[in-house]
Formats: sequence, C-alpha cells, structure tokens
Amino acid sequence: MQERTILLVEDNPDDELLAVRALRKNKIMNKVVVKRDGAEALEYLFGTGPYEGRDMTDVPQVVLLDLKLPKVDGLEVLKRLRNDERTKLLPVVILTSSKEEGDLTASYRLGANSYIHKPVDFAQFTEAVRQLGEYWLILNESPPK
Amino acid sequence: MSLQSTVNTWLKPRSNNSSDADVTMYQDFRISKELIHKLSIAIASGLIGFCLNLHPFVFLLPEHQFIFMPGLVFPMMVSLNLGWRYGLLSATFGVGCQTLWAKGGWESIVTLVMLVLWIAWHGWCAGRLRSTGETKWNRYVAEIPFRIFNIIILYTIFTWTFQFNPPSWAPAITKEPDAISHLNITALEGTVNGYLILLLSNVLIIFGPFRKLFRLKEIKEQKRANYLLGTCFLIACAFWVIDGIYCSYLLGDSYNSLVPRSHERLIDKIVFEVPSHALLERISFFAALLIGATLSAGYMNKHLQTDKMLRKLVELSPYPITTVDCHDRIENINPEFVESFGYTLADIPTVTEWYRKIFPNIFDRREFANSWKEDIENAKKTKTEQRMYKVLSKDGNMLNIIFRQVVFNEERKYIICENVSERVRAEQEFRKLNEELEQRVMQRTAQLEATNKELEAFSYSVSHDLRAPLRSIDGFSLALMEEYEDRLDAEGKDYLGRVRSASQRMGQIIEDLLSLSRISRRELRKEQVDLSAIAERIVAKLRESAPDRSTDVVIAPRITGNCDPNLIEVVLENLLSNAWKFTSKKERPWIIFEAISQNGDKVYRVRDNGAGFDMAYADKLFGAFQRLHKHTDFEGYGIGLATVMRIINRHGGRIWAEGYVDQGASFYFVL
Repeated sequence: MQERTILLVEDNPDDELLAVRALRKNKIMNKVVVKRDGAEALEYLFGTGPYEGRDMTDVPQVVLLDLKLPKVDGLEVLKRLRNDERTKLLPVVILTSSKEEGDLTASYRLGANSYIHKPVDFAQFTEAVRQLGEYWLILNESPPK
Repeated sequence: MSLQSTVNTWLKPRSNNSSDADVTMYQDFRISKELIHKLSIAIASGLIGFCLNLHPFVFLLPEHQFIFMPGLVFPMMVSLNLGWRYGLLSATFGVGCQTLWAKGGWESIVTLVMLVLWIAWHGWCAGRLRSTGETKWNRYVAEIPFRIFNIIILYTIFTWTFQFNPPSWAPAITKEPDAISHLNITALEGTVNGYLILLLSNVLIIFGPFRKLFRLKEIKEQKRANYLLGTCFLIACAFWVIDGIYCSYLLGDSYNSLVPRSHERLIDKIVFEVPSHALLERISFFAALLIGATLSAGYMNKHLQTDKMLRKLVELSPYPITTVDCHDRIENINPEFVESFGYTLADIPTVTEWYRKIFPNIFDRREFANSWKEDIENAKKTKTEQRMYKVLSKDGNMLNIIFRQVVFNEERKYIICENVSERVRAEQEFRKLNEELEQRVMQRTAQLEATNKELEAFSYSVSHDLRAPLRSIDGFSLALMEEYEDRLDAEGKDYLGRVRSASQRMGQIIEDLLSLSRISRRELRKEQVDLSAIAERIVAKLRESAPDRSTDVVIAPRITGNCDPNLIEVVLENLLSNAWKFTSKKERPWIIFEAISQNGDKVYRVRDNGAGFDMAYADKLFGAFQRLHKHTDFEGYGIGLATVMRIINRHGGRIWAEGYVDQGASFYFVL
C-alpha cells in the first residue's frame, strides 16, 4: 500500500526545513507536501485553482497546520475544512509557536484533533514530531474514505 | 354699574382693582353657585328671624315683660360664620321687615339700627378671631364693649327719641319716674338677650344640619353632638309648651294683668313676685339649655384647641406658610415665609399682590394662574399637588419654590411653600459633576481598552513571531553539530553549545514574560480554596524532582482562602519552589507554610532557612528580571516573584518579605 502524504502548511521556510528534518530523523518517510499559505492549502485540498484536476483520492494522512499564515490564517483554514463534507473528518494537528489560551480554545472549538506547541529547543521539537508521527501515522486509524 | 360689579365691589372690596386685568381668576368674581348659596342663606335667615320675632318668648315679670327674641339667632349665625357683610345683609333684611311692622315713632329706628350694628360687629370680630386667634375677639368678650356702647345709646339717644316722639304703644312708660326703671330693665334685658343669642348661635352651629347649611367641616363626634343638642331642645320646647298651657289654664284672662306695679327692688320683681310654678319651669328651661350648651361648648373647645395647635404649628414650621381667607386676602404669614421671600404682611396684603411681586412677568403669572386653578380643585379633594416654580424674592433673587395648598374649609386655606433653591442647585451641580465623571470614565476606559488591545497584539506577536527565529538558531545549531560533527573541533562544538543554550534561555524568558502577561489579562474567578492541599501537591512534585533531597516541609492543615484557585497555585508554586531552590545548599533544610493572624488580617507565610537575602535590596525582590543571587549559585530569571506580586495585587492583597543573608527568608501575603 502506498504511504499516504503529510500536508504541512507553514510559511516560515526555516520551520518547514526543521520540521521535515525532524520527521526524517525519526524515520518518517511519508511524502511531505508543503503549502506556504492558507489559501494555497485550501486549493490543494479541494482541488481548485492551480490544483484543478488533482488526483483527489490522494488525501493526506494528517494535516500539520500553523496558525499564523499569510492570506487565510490557520483558524480560517480549519473552519473551512470542517465545514466541507470531503474534509470534515480529515485529521488536523495544529503546530504552532503560540501557547495563548485564546488560540488553544479557538482551535479545539473549530475541531482540531491535536494542538502541539513548537518548543524553542530543537531536541524537544524533534521529540514532539516523533511522537506526533508515531501517533498519527502509525497508531491512529484513519477515518474510512 | 351692573349688578355684577356692584356685588363684586361690595362683597369683595379689597380683592383687586381693575388694573389687574391680567390675573383673571382673582378679580373675575362671578356670581358663582357659592355666592348664590351664601346670599340666599343670609336673606332667608333674616326673614326666618323676622318671622320668629313676631312671636317672641315673653317672660312675665311683675310690672315688666321680659322679651326674648330667638329670631335674632339666625342673622347672628350668618354673621358669625359667613362674615360681617353677609350678617349685615341678613340683619338688614330681617330688621327691615320689622321696621314695616313698627308702630310709629323713631324709637324703633334707633333700636333696630343698634340690632343691625350688633350683628355686624360680631361678624367682624369673628373674622378677626379666625385670622388672629386672639381671645379678645371671642364673641363673649367682644359683647362687652358693644353692650356698654348700647347702654350709653339707650340712656341718651334712645331716651331723647322716646321723649320727643313717643310711640303710640307705650304712653305709660314714658312718664317719670317709671321711665328710668324701665330703662334699667331694658338694659338688663338687652344684655341677657345678647348673651343668650350668642350662646344659642354658638350652640346651634354645632348642630349637624346647620353646619351643612353653612358648609362648615363636621366636628368630632358630630352625631353624638346632634343627639345631645336635639334632646336638650326637645326638652326645653316641651317645658315651654307645658308652661304656656299651664299659665293660660291657671290664669286665664288675668294672664295679662299679672303686672302689679310697685317700687320694690329689681331682684324682688324678678324672683319673689313670680308665681312659683312659673319660676320652676323657667329654671328648668334654662337648666336644660345650659346643660346642652356646656356639653356642646366642650366639643367646641376641642375644635378651638386644634385650631390653636395648628396656628402654633404654622408659626414654628420650617416651611414658609401663608394663611389665606376666602377672599384671597393674606391673613397671616409665618416667620420662615419672611425669611425665605423677604416680604412682610404689609408688602403683600392679598394673594394677588403677592403673585404680582413674585411673578413680575405677566406670562409666568398667567401660566401659574392656570395651573393654580387645577391645584385648588385638587386641594379641595384633599389631594395636594406639587409644582415647582421660579419666583422672585424681595431682594431680587430667583428662588425655586414648590407650592402646596391645603384647604380646610371655605373660609381658609394654607399655602405651604417649600424653598428648594438649594436642593435644585445642588442637584444641578451633582448632575454636572456626574456627567463630567462619566465622560472621564469613558475616556479612561477607552484608553485602557486601547492599551489592553495593544498589549494583546504584542503578546500575540511575541508568541508567534519572536520564538520562530530562536527555534531556527537552536535547530540549525543542532543540525550543524550533528551533520558536521567530523569537521568541528571541540572549541567549535562548545561555541555551538553556547549558541543553543543562549537561545533556549531566551525562549524560556519569553515563555515567562508571556505567562506574566497572561496572568494580568486573565479573568479572576474567586472561590473558597484549600491552600494546604495545593501546597501539599506542589511539595510532592518538588520531592519527585529531587528524590535524593531530604527537606523538612511543614504545611499547616486546613489553610483556606477566597481566591482564584489557578492563580493561587502559581503563587504557591513560585514561593515553595523558591524556598526549595534556596534551601538546596543547607545541611538540614526546612520549609514552613502557615497562616497567622496579624492586626486582624489573615496573613499567609512561607518560611525557610535557605540562602535568605539582604533586606537592603528587599524592594528589588518583586521587580521583573531582578535577581539577588548569581546565576551560577541559583538558577532563575527573576520573573517568579514579579508574577506572584502581580497575582496578589490582582486579588487586592499585599505581599512583603523578610530575610537575612544565609539565615532564611519569610514571604508574607494577604489576600
């Protein structure tokens, strides 16, 4: 069975690089699709705009979503995903620097499956990504297609 | 001159002059129902009096007849209760008729004019009594000067007219020396008659139907008074009838000849020469009348006392009050009135004059007049209305006055004024201050909200943006160390290690700062909290983190407080972990958490025997990023106590500390 993709929505290239590195270091070899802003992520997921005609059976195993994004921010992306039949059950993990209470509550209210705070210490970050990958890609049973 | 204006000028001579056309209601005195009522009572009473006097009560005395004319009581009642003008009218009607019946001679003119004067005099005195309440105007006292005057007239003018123009019916008594003795009897008769009429009118007016007729207020226990009076008069009448029948039966035709002429003393004539049965009946009659009068006078007295009390009350009242009679003349004003308005009774003899002075503007006066009419109607229904007007005082100040009318009866009303100028000014000032305050609060709130928004935006940005570069520094340093390990020497690795630890420390500082600001922004939810339990939990965690340490920690049981449980946990966590940290280098470390009482306050205290601090720097203890120990000695960024202080402040409490270098520290806080 072909391994499913991970969709990483992240505007900071450093963070993107570090995240991918952390995944690889933890032997998570799934294909990582990176989108730079919320609008692009939505187009990708719904197969619109430049992604018109994309193979829609290729649904990501998990979406790693930053909150602070250009154009459409993370919370708005989450809201639209949850409002659409096709992506309603898609596992979304919020991966952000913020530990603000407001962000946490809003994310869970809109139906985030997890909320992970990115620590400054890279060792800790790697550990977090490891656990995240282990859980969402290996342990967790995806919703039926 | 029309009838209307004649009536006006005659019955209301002082009320207004014609230049006052603007205040219509005071001078526009129409022939109202009330006036018609009063006039008809006056005239009817005069006529009834006249009819009754055609049949006077004649007491037979030896040589003389003692004539009692009960009819006079009716015009007298009119005069006493409606005022002397109506009394004069009534008496003129009655006596006028009587003049027609007079059997010639000028004597009757003198006698009848005296009667009319007598009735008017008592009406005038009653008016004075009502307005002043002085005893000298009491009818029985006022009778004395008039009686003296009457007797003088009797012995002078009356005698002269009698001599020069003797009436046809009395030729006998015009001759000397009987004339003098007759005059004596007439003077006595007049006095007795006078007092009897006054007494009767006094007594009759207590009678319910008469009070209704004259539109007077009911007296207390009106029914009982009616009953007593009615009984007295019935008994008296019964005696009178029996006396009449008995005398005619017993004496027959000789009834009129029972006038023996002698020159004995007056007392013998009245008492001893009267047949005993007649004397007995007459005494009974007067006794019955007296009993009735005494009882009624008791009721009347109560009434008078209430009146006196009322007058005293008006005088001592802290409100300006005027007493106004039925012709809108000001009878009395109290001292407070003079104090407030500056006007004395001489300045404002009438209500019209008063209003003209306090409302110099004609439009104000007209407006006032309109609402005043309504007020009078309401006041009659005993509903007193409150209205505030701007009026002018004598010294030219504008006053805010509330007028209230109290109407007791047709004769008199009280106008109670309340000077609310001070109150109105204070209210205005208060309202202005309040508005200013509200304005200021709104400004402050807006400023505060703006600051808060800025702060929120700042911490949001710190949360998201400030940490990302640090993560890159740390992440790529680590990547460098891992990927290029073989190309770095020990020194290079050490440098990279320093870069990493610096960025991590900065990450921690940002973390702490954010949590400090979170505490400031967070909503406070106070409840009863078990502080001992929280402290136990924290200490358990501390012990877990350093299983090798042996520290005596004493936590007093059941310490409670009214506070936010989450925030107080942060406080205790900071204080206890500080104590834990600073006792780490002691041989036998101990920490105590307890609650003590100080000046009536419940004070919580965390004590330890750790590194302590120098009291000289105690003020730096609670500032953010202030540290009293070197980083190499004890870890930390100096944010913990600042957080603690912020939380205690948000609870409205206080925190302070005591300590000595190497001898431990004590932290006190009050919630």
